[in-house]
Amino acid sequence: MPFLLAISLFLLSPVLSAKQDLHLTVNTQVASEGYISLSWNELASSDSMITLEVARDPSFSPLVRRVQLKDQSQVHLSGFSDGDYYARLIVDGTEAQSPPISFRVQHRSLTAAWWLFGLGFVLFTLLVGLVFNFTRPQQQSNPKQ
Amino acid sequence: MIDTQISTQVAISILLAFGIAWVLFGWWLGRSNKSVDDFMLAGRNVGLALASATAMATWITSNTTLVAPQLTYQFGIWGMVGYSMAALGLILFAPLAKRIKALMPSGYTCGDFIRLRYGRGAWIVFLLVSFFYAMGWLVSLGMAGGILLQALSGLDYHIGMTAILVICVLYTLLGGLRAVIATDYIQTLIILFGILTIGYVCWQNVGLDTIYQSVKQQQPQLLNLLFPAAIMFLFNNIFFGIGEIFHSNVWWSRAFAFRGGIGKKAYLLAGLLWLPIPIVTGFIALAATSLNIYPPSPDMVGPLVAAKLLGSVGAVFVFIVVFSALASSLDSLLAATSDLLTEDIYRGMFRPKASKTHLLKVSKIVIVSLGFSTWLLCLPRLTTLGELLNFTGAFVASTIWPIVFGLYHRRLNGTYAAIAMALGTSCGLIAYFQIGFYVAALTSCLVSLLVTAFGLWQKDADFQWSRLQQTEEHT
Repeated sequence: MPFLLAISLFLLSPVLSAKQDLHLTVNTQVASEGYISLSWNELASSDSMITLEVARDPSFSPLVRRVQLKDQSQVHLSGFSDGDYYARLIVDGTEAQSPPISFRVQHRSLTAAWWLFGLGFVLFTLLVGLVFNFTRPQQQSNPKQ
Repeated sequence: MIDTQISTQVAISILLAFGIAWVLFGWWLGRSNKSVDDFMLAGRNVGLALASATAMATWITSNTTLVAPQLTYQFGIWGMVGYSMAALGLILFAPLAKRIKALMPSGYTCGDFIRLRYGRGAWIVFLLVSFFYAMGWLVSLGMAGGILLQALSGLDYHIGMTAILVICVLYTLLGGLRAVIATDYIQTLIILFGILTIGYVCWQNVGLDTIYQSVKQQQPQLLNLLFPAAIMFLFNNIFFGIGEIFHSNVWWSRAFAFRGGIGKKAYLLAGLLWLPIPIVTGFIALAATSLNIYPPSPDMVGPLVAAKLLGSVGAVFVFIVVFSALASSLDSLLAATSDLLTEDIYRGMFRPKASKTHLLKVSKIVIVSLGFSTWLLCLPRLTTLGELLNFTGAFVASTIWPIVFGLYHRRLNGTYAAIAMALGTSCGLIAYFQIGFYVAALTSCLVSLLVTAFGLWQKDADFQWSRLQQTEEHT
């Protein structure tokens, strides 16, 4: 009996190993710019196609993105809106599937962004105004120059 | 990584063909270099067409061909527009170039100006900022060359990086700034033709409607004009670009080299012509999802789309365009940094009475040493060095106000100029680490302005413009 169990485990090991060894990792838990990098281990970087699924729900329905990749062990995805996301990797033609991972997209405060935009605009206007003023023909002959 | 890679043999053949052509061209142009003025400043007699082309080609770097698509892929419409605003650096430098030539007709470097205008303290701070930036840019260009050639052709990183550096060092060494400017002219034509072709094929083959629908469905944030990080990025990128151009000897050496009355027109024309280029290179990144391209790293999105659109011909095309973009910036940076080291460090600190013939020899030794140092720093392929360029935004933006007031106003003194650069840089770095790369230059610029304004109010240096003529005392 133990022998048969050992044989069964041996025969099943590639699938089990593939299932267990496929790790999907995300570069950040909270993406404040709406883009993320996902990477996975070499096991999935074989000749077979890989499907990356991203959804707003842990049940993966409906899908936000379904991306088919080949010869890659990482991918950079962008343009996400605010919210919680779940991602998993499936190796096509096998049962190998990574455990799902989650990440959150939380864009920076729009108010802070407008403040910085306003500050930049004021500085830029000042710079352009100064250069324009300094290079006016009548200013060129000004002794202050 | 790319379906339609070109073979390593083809890549080596292109490298050899371009390398031999550029080096022979550099040698041919360098035959008429008789003095250090000829070598460092192309005889101070560059006309409008070459002047505009060299300014434009130098500003089209690997960043324009790689980072503009990357920022569009990450920040959408704002990323594309924001990157193209770097043209404002060239446009605003146009009147400054005229002023520089008028104030220092016999000047050699921006370091000369800072030393004479603000004194030794500010000069040392400025040299540190400038040298740090130049090395960061040089190393990132060398690394980008190796990485790109490997991605497109499978050519080993070290071979590709070494080949690009050796070719650029050789023709800069043989022809000086004259060769740099002439090759830039040809490289501009290649880059423009390549980028416009790729943009046109993308528009024709994929279509605006398909691109819009695909982005709207898969990357909705990219079409959002109220994208916070992208809004923050806009003016930061503008000040980064302005700081890069206002302080760097790459642009000052050209202002000295252009024929009288040419600088303002050349920089204005170059800026206006450069403005749409990031729009085109950025636009193709928006087609990525329509073409089912999901890049492993964001800076690869441009080459991947181009290669997919044009097949194997596209990969060759991208290879040549990116090689030209890298070479046109690398050669300029090698020449300008060598001038800065020869003039400011060697002559300024160790041999003030060195003859022009001696300086010509030193300048050539410095180019080789600079190329070798860059090669050594590129060898380990440290990814952090690629990020060094964004890091330098905090440094260069601090120089904007001291340069502008230094050129036009007698009142600002050296102590406050030095503090403005040092404090601006420090605060910019704090913002870089505490908030993000997209606020470093803006913070640095703001702090530098506050110190400059305080300095103007506090003390009157009453600088005499005639002191800038001291550079003519070169033996």
